[in-house]
Order: sequence, then structure tokens, then C-alpha cells
Amino acid sequence: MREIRMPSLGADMDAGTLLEWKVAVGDKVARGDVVGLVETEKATMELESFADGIVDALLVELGAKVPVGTVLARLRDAGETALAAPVTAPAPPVTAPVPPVTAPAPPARVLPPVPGPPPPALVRSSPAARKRARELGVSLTGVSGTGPHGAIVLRDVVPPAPRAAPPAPRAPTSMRQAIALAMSRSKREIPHFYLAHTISMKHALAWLTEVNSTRTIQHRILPGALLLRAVAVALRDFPELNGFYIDDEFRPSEEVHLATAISLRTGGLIAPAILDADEKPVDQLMEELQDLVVRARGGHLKSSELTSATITVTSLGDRGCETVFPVIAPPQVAIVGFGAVLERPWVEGTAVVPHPTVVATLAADHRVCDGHRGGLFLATLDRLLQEPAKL
Amino acid sequence: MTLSDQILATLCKIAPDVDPTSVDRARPLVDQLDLDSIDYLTFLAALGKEHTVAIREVDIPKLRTIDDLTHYIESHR
Repeated sequence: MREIRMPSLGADMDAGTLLEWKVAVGDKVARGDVVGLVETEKATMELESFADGIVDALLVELGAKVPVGTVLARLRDAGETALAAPVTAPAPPVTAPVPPVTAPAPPARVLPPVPGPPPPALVRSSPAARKRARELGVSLTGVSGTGPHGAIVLRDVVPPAPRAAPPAPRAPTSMRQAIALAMSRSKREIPHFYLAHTISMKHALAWLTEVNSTRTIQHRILPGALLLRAVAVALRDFPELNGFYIDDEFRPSEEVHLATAISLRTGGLIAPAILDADEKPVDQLMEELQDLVVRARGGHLKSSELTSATITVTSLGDRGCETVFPVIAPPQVAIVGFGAVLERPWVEGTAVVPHPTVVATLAADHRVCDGHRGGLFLATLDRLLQEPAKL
Repeated sequence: MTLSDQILATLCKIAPDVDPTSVDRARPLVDQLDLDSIDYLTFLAALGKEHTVAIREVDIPKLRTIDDLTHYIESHR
């Protein structure tokens, strides 16, 4: 038997709400398949299966908010016998604030079993009813179904009764609270050091102009994708910047899962990861970056993209300022920042000439490495960007 | 649906958080809606595909508003 658990989006996430199952008991699923939809304080994400198998049981009812690590579903192998009843009681829905996380472990932490009340019966409901319930912000728990076998259908889902008092108008959003928690923890626990290095983008931009001149707009590469590629390649020689600090020790990661910060116009930001970024050429990074941004805006990110980042890149873009001093997202140990690409005076031989330049910054965890290695990392990034065709 | 409406609909697919009724079709979209370079490139690429128009690299800086895009697509398809 294998289990699908409530994933953690990081240090700041304690619980999530199950919005929808996309599979039913008896369905065959493969590793990476989307099996459900989970809502967290920062985003709605698609829940992926981390194993192959047959859905043996769905253990949490729709609309329930449960702690990170709670078993949501159980999978069995093709040869295994189905269990007649759930073997573990689902964790009770969260009713009070969950104690602060002290030692999160990506991608998902396993909490000890929480003794709970008898498992609630699964709520049968139609997709249209679930969609309507989400739109209205109501839970299907307690709704009497009038469909086949008591299933909740669209007509059963009605708007909630008006509240006596409106919510506090200046209460911070859950997104802002999630950012506040993560960043406060980062500043409290991680002894940051910061380095900055100005890099000429003359060769990189010239190469991009040449490459893009022969391409359609659908295949155009933006400087941001080239910067991501350079970071991913440079990290091969700097394992101390790529991984997690958990339980008082650094755990380097074999893979480079590069998160990229995306500012949301609805407020806040989210940083989904491009998985195995060091193994992907710049064209593929560009394609995946575009796909991530569109899905981040539409709320369709996958759990693996939101839970496995080993390092983050934040890029201010064309309209940003020249330098960013970023804050590490725990339990990661480093974050790389890029300011806007700007024309600056540059010494070339004996002349001062205008060059497009970018200020690359690194914030890193002093418990894991020192400024010397951080400086070498930024110098490597510089060297790679002077020969973009080799990236 | 007019071409201008179709362009706006494409924009809202790329940026679902944008309220189409709030968009001023004569104002630059990037500043008006806080679009980033990836949003805008994805938007232009989608328009090129939907209207079978090859948007040239050199033309991109001139395509700033819904009205600019409407005129461009009308004259290039």
C-alpha cells in the first residue's frame, strides 16, 4: 500500500484544504498523475501521485482542511487485495491554528498519526456541484444530496446565508500571512550574507538578438530564460547553494529544482520550480517558464512544482530597479537575484563605453557556506554569460 | 465579436486575473495591467497563432495597446 499525503508548500504551510478528487476508488494512476485539487493559503495546486497504483481508498472528505502530512488517499499495487475499510482514521479537520512548524522536510513531511473521530462518510457529489460549491465558497459537508444514491448535485448547492457582520476590512490576506510567516522565519533563523556583482550582458543580448531574429515569436527566448540557464549550470559546481537546511544540518540536493518568483497581480507572489533545470536547454527553460507563469496566474500549479524547489531565482524584469537583495525561502539555503538589465558605463580596454548590464545578487545561508564560495559562484555566472552560445 | 474584443479575450486567457471591463484599449497594456515580459510575450505569441499573423521582432516595441494590436493584425493578415 502506498499513501498520498497532504503536501507541504514549504515552511509556512501547516494545512491544506482538499477541493476535489480527480480519481475514484478503483482507478489506475501513474506517478505524476493529477489525482486531486488542494487549496493552500498561497495557491490552489494540483495534487500529484508520487507512485503508480490503483486507488484503494479516498480518506478525506471534500472541503476538509487537514494538516500537512495527513494521508489523503491510499494506493495499492495491481496484485494487492483491496481493503474493505480505511485502515487509518483521517486526521480531524483543522479547527484551531496548527502549532508552528519547526522542522519541515521537502517535499512532504509525514506527521505522526493523529487519533481522530470515526472517519466521516465520503461525500458523493457531481463535478458541477463541486465547482459551484467552490465558486460560492461553501463546503459540501452537511449538504443533503438529492441525486442518485444521495449524491450532491448542482441544485443542492446554495449560496451561504448572509453573515451578520462583514469580515474585518483590513485583515491581511492568507497569502500575505503565509509570506509573513515564511519571511519572518527566514530572517529569524537564517544568518544571511549578501553579495552583488555587475555582469555585462553585451554578448548575451547580442546572442539573443541573433537567435531570435530567425525565430517566430512563439519560439522567442527572453533574457530571463538565459539567466535561469546560467544559474542552473553554475550550480553544478556549487552544491552548497542547492538544497535544504533541516534539523540543524545541510542536506544538499542531487537535483536542481529552480524556483522562480512570480509576482501575482492579485497580491503576493509564488515561486514554482522548474524541475531538473540543469538538464534542460535554454529553449526548454523558456517554454517551461512561460507555461509556469500562465498556470501560476490561473491557479493550476502542480504540487511537485510547489514543494520541491532546491533554490530560488528572483528577477525584477525590465521595469524593475537595478538591484534586489532577496530573502531566502526556508528550508532552502540560497536565493539568486537579478535586477533590470540597464545600460551603464563599462570599461572596455582603455575606453569607457555603454554596456547593457545586470546586477546579480546572491543571498546565502552562513550556516552552510561563506562569502568566498558565494563570490566564486557569481563569478562563474558572469563567465557563463559571456559565452551564451555554449550555454 | 470585434477583432478588438477577440484580442482582449486572448489577453484574459493569458492573464485570467485581469478584469476585461477595466481595460482601456488605448493605453499601454504593460503599465496599465502590470504585465511582465513573459505575460506579454505569451500574449503576442497566442495572438500570432490565433490570427495567423507573423509578428516580427522589430515590431514588438510598437505593439503596446489593444488598439495598436488591432491595427497591426488587420493590416498583416
